[in-house]
Amino acid sequence: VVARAGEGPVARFGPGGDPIAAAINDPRNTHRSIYLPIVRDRLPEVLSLFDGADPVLITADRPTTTVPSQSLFLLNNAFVMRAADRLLQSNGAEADRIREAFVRFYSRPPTAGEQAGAAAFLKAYRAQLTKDRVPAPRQERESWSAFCQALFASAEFQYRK
Amino acid sequence: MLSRRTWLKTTCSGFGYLAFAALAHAQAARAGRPRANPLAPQATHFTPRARRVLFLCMEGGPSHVDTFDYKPRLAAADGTPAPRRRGGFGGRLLGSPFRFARHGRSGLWISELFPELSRHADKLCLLNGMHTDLPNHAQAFLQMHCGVYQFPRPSLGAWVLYGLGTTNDNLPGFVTVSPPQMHGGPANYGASFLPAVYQGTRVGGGSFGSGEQVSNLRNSRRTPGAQRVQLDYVQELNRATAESLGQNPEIEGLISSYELAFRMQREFPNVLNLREETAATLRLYGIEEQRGAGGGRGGFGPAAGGPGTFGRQCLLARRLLEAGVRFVEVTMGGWDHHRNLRESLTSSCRAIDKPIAGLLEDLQRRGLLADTLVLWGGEFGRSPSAQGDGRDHNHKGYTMWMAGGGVKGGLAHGRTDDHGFEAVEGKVHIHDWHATILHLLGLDHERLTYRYAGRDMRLTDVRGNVVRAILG
Repeated sequence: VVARAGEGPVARFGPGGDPIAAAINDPRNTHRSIYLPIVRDRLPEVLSLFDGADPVLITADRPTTTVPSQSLFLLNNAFVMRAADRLLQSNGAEADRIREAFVRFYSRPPTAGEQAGAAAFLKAYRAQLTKDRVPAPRQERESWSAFCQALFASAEFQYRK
Repeated sequence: MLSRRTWLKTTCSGFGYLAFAALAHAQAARAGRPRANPLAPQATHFTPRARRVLFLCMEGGPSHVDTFDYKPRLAAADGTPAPRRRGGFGGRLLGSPFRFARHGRSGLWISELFPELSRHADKLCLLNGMHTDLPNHAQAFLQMHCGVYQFPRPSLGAWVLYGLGTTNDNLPGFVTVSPPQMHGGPANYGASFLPAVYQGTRVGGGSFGSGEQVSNLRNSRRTPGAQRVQLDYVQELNRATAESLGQNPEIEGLISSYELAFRMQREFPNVLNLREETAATLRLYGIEEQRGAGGGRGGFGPAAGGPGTFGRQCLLARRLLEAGVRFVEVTMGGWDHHRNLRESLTSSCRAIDKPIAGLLEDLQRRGLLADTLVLWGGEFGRSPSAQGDGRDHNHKGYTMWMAGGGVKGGLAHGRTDDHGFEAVEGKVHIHDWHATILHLLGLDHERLTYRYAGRDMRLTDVRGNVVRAILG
């Protein structure tokens, strides 16, 4: 998710009642690594939701679960929405932006059907925002953010074929 | 002489065979676990007496000799040296400053610290002969939850959910209210080597930094309508992927997981909302008695002070159980009474007395108590000898109690020695406690296993005996 959003590492973490939990679960935390320092009994929330190995156990083979708490993370967590926001920065025609997003997420261009599907989604989402009385200037930004988040949440992004 | 090399060569086909055996095993294990929905209700080993569990967890180690373990000889010997050099700090015995009386038709001895709860004496099954391995919080607390004290293992709630599944897919199957950060923290409600789906969902505490009661349950930006439009699009993409791949259980699982999540974020907040409860119910749980103090208004954070916060947590627990959650745990901290026993223990007991009495009453009125197993207790008890004006840790003898689903009410099982140092009769180790809980739920603790690290793991490891004397 961090890679697709094109973010670099940030060094500062926000304050909070529990500095460790706040730091490791900070949505602005964009560290990615192969070797991640782990506080033994404080697994970051995202890892504990997605079957991360318990740091105090020897784990040869992790289970792979697909459960609602993961879906809730992808739909509601600030980290995911922030990453989606970062992808808005490209400009250009709608069709080009859709195409660019598919290449970025799936490493392939969209089919004609997918191109139309994405355009239909953006239209439906804007209509819903109008209904929810979201001011017009924010609608554009929110629609693209929702679109990118949808791609993060999609099966093709999560599973290797 | 048989060399190791020859032995390996002749017995099978050497290390290659060992690798093959491991792989074959892994494959067999995989073939043996096709649970389409890992939370679907599971068949029990025998007829269950209880269908759901509520654990009222008293973190810190509540004193047994001042609450549920009546020790007249300790009172008589108050101030005299403890026998056999037991107890530090001068080793003087400390008789309980609280009066005990018999309650209910059963005549259970309960101290004056629980005026409300003692009205329900005939529902309680006191386990006066509890004992555990170590007198230190972190280890004992972990062992109470996971069976071992050395390292995290799946928590009791995770095992129960794994064994039984859940009847309400729209809610998590294992919920822990206000769990402590200390003493192993999340390990106490973790799934460890069991799949992540069995871990406890935390309510209250709010250390995810968002201040929310439950993590990721609410979207800070997208309205429900907009989110539905977005989810429809996600599912459209997913179905296209599923079609292009042909039969694929993983993608099918993902699609249904999103629908479940969407329903969960609609239903869960309703269960968390206590506003639809009547004033009479709130009074029953002692909630109107304290406003603002401890945990904040309407919050489920750590309890402090009067019964208001713990009352809210108990009421929430009832709502969760009623809605089909399999295992609910509510933690109340602050039972580590090394100092100022008289006042601090009084205040801790006052904070839980009315809420628990109200809870038992409410569960019974709603017909839930018969098949809900209620557990009460902490990681150990407290020393009969004095530590200044308080008591030290005591792990060789203490009291926990059960009520409801399948246990005999009005029973005091087991006993400690004359002063309350050590369990001497009807001893129940924490492994036995676990075995008995699983038994009441219709699960054989020796057959409820999960293969990890080449071994069929159990909550009770290689120990545990069901305490048959308390089965109703």
